[in-house]
Amino acid sequence: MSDDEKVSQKYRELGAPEPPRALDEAILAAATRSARSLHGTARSWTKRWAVPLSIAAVVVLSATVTLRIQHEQSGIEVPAPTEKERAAAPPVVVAEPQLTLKAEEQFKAPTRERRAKTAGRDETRRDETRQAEPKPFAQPMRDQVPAAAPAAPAAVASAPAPSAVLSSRADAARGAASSEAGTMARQVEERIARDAEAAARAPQVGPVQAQAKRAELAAAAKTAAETPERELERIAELRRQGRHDEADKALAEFRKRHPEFRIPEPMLERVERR
Amino acid sequence: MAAGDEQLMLAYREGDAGAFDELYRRHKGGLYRFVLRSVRDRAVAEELYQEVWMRAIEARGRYQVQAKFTTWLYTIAHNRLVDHWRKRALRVVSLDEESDPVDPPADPSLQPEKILEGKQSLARFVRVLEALPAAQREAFLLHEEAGMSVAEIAHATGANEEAAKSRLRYALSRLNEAFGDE
Repeated sequence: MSDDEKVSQKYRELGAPEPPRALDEAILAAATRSARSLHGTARSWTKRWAVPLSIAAVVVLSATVTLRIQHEQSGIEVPAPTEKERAAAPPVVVAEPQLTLKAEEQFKAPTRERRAKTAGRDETRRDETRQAEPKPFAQPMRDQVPAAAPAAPAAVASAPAPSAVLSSRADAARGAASSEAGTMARQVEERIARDAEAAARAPQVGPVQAQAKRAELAAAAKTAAETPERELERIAELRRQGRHDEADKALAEFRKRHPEFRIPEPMLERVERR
Repeated sequence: MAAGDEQLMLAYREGDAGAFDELYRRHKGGLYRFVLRSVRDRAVAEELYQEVWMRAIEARGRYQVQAKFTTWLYTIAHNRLVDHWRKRALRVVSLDEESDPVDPPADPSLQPEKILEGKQSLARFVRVLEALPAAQREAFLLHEEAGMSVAEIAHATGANEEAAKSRLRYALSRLNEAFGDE
């Protein structure tokens, strides 16, 4: 046994006194009280609720931002274009997928004008998607900005440069007839959009009237989206079914929208009242 | 496998009172004897002992596993003793005053004169221990009661390792001489 071990053994022989039981109980009671103290409770409460509260905060924030964006878009006010401006507007053509992506990027721009421009192009694409393949994000964009559509025509008219680019590309890809049809459809949509905006802003219009107006506008938009040939076919069908009043009305509307369109003789025989 | 002292302290920091009970059970004897043999008065020793544990309880929110729990606990005890010694004159406890009697040797065949001799030997040992400088006695008590190494003694007392090693070596040497003279 080494000297150090002998010393240790001797020290052990001194005994091993323990603290009094009362002292033990007092210390353990203090420790238990401390563990249950307000600090400990608050800490555990914070830890327990930190994640749920964070999730709730994110959800509320997201909803608030979404509602705010929708509210701002419905409040966009763009002066209605004059007849002259509309006439000077460049022809709208079918956009290629790359152009759609460009428009998507522009949609993210924070300014009101940028949003209006993009919304206008989006409206244009609504026509185009009937001819081209559906684009995966075109529909969500329309859904996101339904109220921004009325501002589109003016924005498009005031932004000739991108339209010119679109036009030059589309000329190479599409025929002149398509461009002409697209232009006419767009003009009609412009008018519809202005009406829709006016209806949306008019406080005296009740909810039922507004709904009827929207339905009417939607029907007109559908009509406007058709090519003249298809529209004439539809009129001819009305005539064939004996719904002459509707056919007359539709024909008059058609001639009003397409004053320069020359109806082929065979078609003329089918759509006019004989 | 029993949880380590550090895990128990972390559990207590998170509000597990049972973890503290286990820690207290493990360390109460050693800490009590360390304090008791460092001061003269038993009442003072009990008061200091309780204060050390109360400080550990209060400091639980700041506890980090940077060293052994034992080192952390005895560092608190060392600091409390230093405070005590600063307030009062440096005094050493007389182990003769302890109310707990020294346990007699277990062997019943020992003769009364042997028992007396043993008591005398212990008394001599105690006197040497009392006579040690406080820093040397503290180093020895940390070594015996907390099972600390030289490095841990240095950490707990705020001394460098060379100083701690020297103190412990000197204390052991003096105590060994005490019963070596028998």
